Amino acid sequence: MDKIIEILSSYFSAKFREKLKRIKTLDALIVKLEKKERKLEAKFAAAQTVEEKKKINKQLTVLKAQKEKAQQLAQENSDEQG
Amino acid sequence: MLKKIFLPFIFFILAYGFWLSPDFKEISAGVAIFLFGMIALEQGFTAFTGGALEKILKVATNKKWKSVGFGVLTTTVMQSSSLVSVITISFLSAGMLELAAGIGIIFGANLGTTTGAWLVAGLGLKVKISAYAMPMLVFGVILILQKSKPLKGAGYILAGLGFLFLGISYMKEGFDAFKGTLDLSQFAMSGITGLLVFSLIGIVATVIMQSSHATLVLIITALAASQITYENALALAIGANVGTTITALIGAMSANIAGKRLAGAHLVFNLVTGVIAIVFLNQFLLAVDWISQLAGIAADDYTLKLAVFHTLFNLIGVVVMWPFVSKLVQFLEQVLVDKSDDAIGAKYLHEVSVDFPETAVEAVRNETMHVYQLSLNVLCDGISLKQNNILNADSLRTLVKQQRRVFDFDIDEVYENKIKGIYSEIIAFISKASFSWEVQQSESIHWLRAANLNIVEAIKDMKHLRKNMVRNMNHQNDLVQNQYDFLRLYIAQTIKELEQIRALLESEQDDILLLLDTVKVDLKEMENTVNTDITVLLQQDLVSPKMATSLINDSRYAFSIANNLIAMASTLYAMYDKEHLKVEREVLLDKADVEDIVSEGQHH
Repeated sequence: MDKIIEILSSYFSAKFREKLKRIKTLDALIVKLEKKERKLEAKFAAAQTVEEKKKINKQLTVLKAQKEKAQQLAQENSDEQG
Repeated sequence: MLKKIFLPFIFFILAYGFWLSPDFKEISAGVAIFLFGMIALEQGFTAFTGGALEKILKVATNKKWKSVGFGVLTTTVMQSSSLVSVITISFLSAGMLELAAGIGIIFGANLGTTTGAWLVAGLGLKVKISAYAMPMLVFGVILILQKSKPLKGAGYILAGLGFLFLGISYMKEGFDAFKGTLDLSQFAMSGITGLLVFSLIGIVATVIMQSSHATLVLIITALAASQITYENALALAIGANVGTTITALIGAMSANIAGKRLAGAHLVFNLVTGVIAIVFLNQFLLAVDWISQLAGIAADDYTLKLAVFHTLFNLIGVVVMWPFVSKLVQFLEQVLVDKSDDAIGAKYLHEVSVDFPETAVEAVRNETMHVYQLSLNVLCDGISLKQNNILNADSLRTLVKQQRRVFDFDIDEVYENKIKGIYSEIIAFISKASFSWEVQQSESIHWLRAANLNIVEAIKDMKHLRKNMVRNMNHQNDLVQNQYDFLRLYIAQTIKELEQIRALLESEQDDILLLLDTVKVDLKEMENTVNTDITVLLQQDLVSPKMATSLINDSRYAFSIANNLIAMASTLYAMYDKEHLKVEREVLLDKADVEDIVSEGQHH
């Protein structure tokens, strides 16, 4: 009984709700970054000049690094959750 | 002079009246208690304006009709159009609200204030409200003595309402008793003379009491005691409406341009409404009779009919003025010209803003943006390029190569005259405000303070950089010239990329911070190029060690300018959801990440 109450109270705690919100925001950000990545890849494929390709490639590298970081944070969060 | 004799004159008249009639004393005390109640009510609501009201205002004013609704609702709840005006002026000054939306709120507030007449005529005179006043005052004062801010605020609201009720009760009793000694209705005037004379009395009474609400309550209580005729009461109500704008105009004299324009709109609205009411009074009376009949109001219930009239003519005013809001905005902007663009000083900081944390944060952000805008000119001139040319150039490299004329100006002088003043005002404003604020707002303000510091640091670095740059931009050694051109290019590119990101702010994109990472990578690459080039130049004896030292020092200044601008942008451009921002800040690439990407790029 105590355990159930403890789980319930932690569920309703501000900290827990904050964590849920954070996970949701992180997930939304990852989805957004993936969408952007696909867009940039299409742009890269359509690019004509080397200069242009180089520029897009740089943006892609940055985006991938950000996505990786976001995924890592999301993983850490879900590990904590589990 | 007039101001000096006004107060003693009023005191003398009142004292003479008190000596003459104890009933007049009771009525005046009623008015005083009522006004005190309004002050307490305003104080109470100010305690709650910190968060909720500002958040509501943000979403409730994005459309014109919503602004009107907001004005009606808030004035109805707070029973104070002046508090609503103060908040509106504060929002306008902070740049959070368009003038058209502000005008909408004022239209709404005019409508909302008519609910006061309904409350007094419908409830105040029919129920013995002084019986409710006493417990309200007791509970209110106990709450005021509490330490908690919300409890204190609630206490002021409760006590304020108590005083309002008590004031109405005193006025009512005073007029009832007055009837026994002096029948004021014998001074009634009919026809156009009565209309104009009583409208004027309404104006004067409102200017003296600084509240149309109080005047209206006085009119209703006098009407209920048959001390004035229905016809004259209508004229007084029209006068009260016009009088309240004079109070607002006096208040706006010391306000900034936003406050002046809003007061101007208020004046135009109430004058037009007043004229319409006077010209079409007979038609209004017919309409009031018809509406009263429909609403089941007795034909001789003049107090409620006055409330109907008051609402009706304000409503007609809104309907008539509604199509002309855009024209009114244009007119006010033409007549009341904003000279703050040319003037040296803050544009968005307003005395009132400090009481409303979110508005204040927004005002500081806009002011910081103002400082940044001014600083951009200094930074662009610093590298002898025009801001417009940087933003529109197809190739910055070519622009830098072609533009070799050194811009001659004193950076210290520009800083002292144009930037330092506003910067100091921001810092003074922040220190005045942040102590009493919630942690969240204090945190935002801390970031903004840092952003201001970044801007100022960038200018100081530019000052140091310019010392050698001015000399070496056209150096006889092409290699030296090239190096300084590269530093100019480096700063120009930073400015251009940041401005491109800033342009996205208007599209309300919510990942602005992450875009800054690409700028960081670009700059890191350029930094590496500069460092490598200087080393090569030195190793191959292509420049003297002294020149190489200058180049190393100057490149440090250029890097510092860019880094300060990026740090500034990461605060100033971050204008969206706090949770989102928090996550984005964690995802942002750190120094090591940026270096990894750059070195990876070099290997490829």
